Amino acid sequence: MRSTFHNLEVAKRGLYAQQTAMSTTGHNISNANTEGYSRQRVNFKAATPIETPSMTRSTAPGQLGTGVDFQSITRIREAFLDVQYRNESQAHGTWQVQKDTLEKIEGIYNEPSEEGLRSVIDEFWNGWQELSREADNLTARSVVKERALAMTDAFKHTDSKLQDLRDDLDHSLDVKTQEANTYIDQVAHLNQEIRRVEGLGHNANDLRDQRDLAVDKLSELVQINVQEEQSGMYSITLPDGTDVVNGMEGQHIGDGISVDQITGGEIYGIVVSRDELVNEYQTHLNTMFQGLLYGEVEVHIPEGSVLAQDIEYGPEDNRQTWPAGEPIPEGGMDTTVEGINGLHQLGWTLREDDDGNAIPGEAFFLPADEEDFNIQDVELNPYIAKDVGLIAASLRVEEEDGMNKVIRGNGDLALAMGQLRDGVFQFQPEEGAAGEGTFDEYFRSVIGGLGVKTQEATRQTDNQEMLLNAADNRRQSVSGVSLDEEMSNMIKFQHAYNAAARMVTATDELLDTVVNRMGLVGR
Amino acid sequence: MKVGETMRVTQNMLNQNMLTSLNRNLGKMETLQRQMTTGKKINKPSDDPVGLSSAMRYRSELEANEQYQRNLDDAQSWVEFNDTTVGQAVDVLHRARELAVQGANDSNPQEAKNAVASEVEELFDQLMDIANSQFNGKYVFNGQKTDQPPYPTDDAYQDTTFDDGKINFEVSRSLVLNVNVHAGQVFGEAEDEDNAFATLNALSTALRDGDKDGVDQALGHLDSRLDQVLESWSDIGARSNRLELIDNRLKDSDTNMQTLLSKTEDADMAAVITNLRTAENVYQASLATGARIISPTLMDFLR
Repeated sequence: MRSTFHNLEVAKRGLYAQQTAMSTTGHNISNANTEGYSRQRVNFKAATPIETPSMTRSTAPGQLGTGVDFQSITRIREAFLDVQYRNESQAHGTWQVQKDTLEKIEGIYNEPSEEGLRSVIDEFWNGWQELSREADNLTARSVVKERALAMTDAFKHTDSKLQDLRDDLDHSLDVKTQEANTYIDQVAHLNQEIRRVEGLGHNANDLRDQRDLAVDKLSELVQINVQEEQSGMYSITLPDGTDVVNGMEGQHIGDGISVDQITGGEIYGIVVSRDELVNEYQTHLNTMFQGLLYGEVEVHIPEGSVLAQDIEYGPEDNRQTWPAGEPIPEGGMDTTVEGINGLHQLGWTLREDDDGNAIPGEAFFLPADEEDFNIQDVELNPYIAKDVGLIAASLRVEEEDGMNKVIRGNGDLALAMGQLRDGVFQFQPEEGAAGEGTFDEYFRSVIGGLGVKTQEATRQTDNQEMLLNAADNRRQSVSGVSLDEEMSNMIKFQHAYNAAARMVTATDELLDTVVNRMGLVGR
Repeated sequence: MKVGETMRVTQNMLNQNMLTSLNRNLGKMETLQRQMTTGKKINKPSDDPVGLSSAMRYRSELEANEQYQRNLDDAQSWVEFNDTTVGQAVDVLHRARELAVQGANDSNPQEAKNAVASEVEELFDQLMDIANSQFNGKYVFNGQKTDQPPYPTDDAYQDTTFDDGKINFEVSRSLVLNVNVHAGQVFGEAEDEDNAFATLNALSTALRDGDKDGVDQALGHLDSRLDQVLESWSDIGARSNRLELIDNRLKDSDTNMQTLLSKTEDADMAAVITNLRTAENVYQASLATGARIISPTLMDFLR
């Protein structure tokens, strides 16, 4: 048997339910621009009817509905899309950082230009060529000195720029690690909150959104796997199985997790950039300069030259020594010297020692040999920097009054130095086979390789960006707030609310009839 | 999503997509603008790694070429100077020969022969001057000892003092040319019978002594010396020709290299401007579309 007030109860439930739906609509609209928010929906269900089947049922027909119940408020989200998004996100992070680094290295090497290393080296060779024509000209000697200084400066400058880049990467590694640790803590904390709320039978929609957002952010930085446990808590692991978040426990990078364990995301990108990319181009720079200064290279010594040092000549299986001080025979001689330094030490300077003997060339650049080579330590021999007369340009001395006197007009050493432009050097890269080629060839291959690498990184970054956007779009398509939709829902709920209210009025009128107008016959 | 089901679209997606495409369009414009302002299509290695490699090679070769050109200009000056001085030596020897012929004539009185002898002595001095001539402060006939005269004294010719080292200029890749001739080639070695100075000396002595045989012998030596000098002279002429050929080749290869460099590296301005225009239009269109898509919602149409 139903109550007289049954209809009021039904209408009241309608009012409550539609109002809840309106509130949720309002919540959705308000959060339309909240990062990580997923739209929420009130799930309505018809309330339990009276007269459920039983032994004592009434004979009145049918089940009588009792209005509406709202069962739950749920967020609309697909976990699968989250997995996709996070996969693309970590790959995007890795490539983005590498691309940025390579572009910076491109900027540092500054090619193609008239100011790059290639240019200062060309100028250096040209300086020697000029000197070859006027071997005793002090102005030409100063030009050689200045260009040697410019060349060492350019190499050192490039190297220190690369070092700065490495330091920058170190710094961003710290910053990004801290950021990741903050997200890890957030997820662990939210795990706890969510379990508490959901243990009581509610849906912790907004907390879940926050947690998913924190995981999104974390996945940009580090490649992770995410698993939702029975308890509603997320457990996060690295691909190698190491726990990042386990229940309410978070492990910090740099504490429980070492940076080497990370295999994707921006942090990995930074480590690769620092340890592989920057390192590679710093090594290339070293190898180039080292090769130039000390690398073996074949030179031709013209006939009539009288050298300051013994040289080796002849076929490789039958090397012979030509003694210093002995004129080179007709046709000249091919020999191998150790870079610019080695060549410089074969010849003679303009200066004489206390006995009146011509002073032979010293190492042009210091340190004189390549042990423990470090670009920043290299300098033009300070004696030469002070007195350009100590540049050896001549390959010939002549005995005069028992003393070796330099032939000042002989510019053969300067010429041989200028011709090293086309000389085939033995470069000693740290890894792989020894490189052989002219300096220009070696440099070009380094820069060409850099271009190819940057191109590849740019392509990958662009691809990942497209994939990431696509994944984000799919996610947004499911979870994003559509204002149009919310508006039409609002109208829908508003009308339903109005109708329920009208129902109250109708019931009111009905009761008015019963209470105030009934039993008044004949009054 | 099931087949046929339309994708749900939200305001944020529209926003995001618009921003992404606006950014992409701006990026394209930035690239084109850089090509416009620099005039180059390769501004960094990744723009075109292969093209860049060639461009760098052309640049290096151009710089080397410029140096070869400078070396060559200098070489040409040297050779021209040698050409002139050896020409002067030829003139002197010719004049000496004329005088020898004149002096060989027995009908001339001794005073006339003495006068001829005086002129021969002057020619000796003149030839000595030529032998010790300097170009840019360098003695040209003393091999690599350009800081010392080949004949510091008038009778230095009697023992070899000059140097026979070669002055070499690199005038093109691996092509080293010798630009000097040494005193021995022009004026004769000390032990040569036809040493120019010895001959002139002998001639004037013979003239003063009225030694006809001596004059005849000197005449013979003058002839053979002239042959030698003319040979050197034509050798210098040949070198000058060769330098000229190399000069042409250097200039040609410079032009070629510039063309190649330009082809590799320079932006096609007409194409860049057209593309930039297109990119601008696309950008403006996307802005306009964005403005129309983003603003209206159902709200705008509800009372």
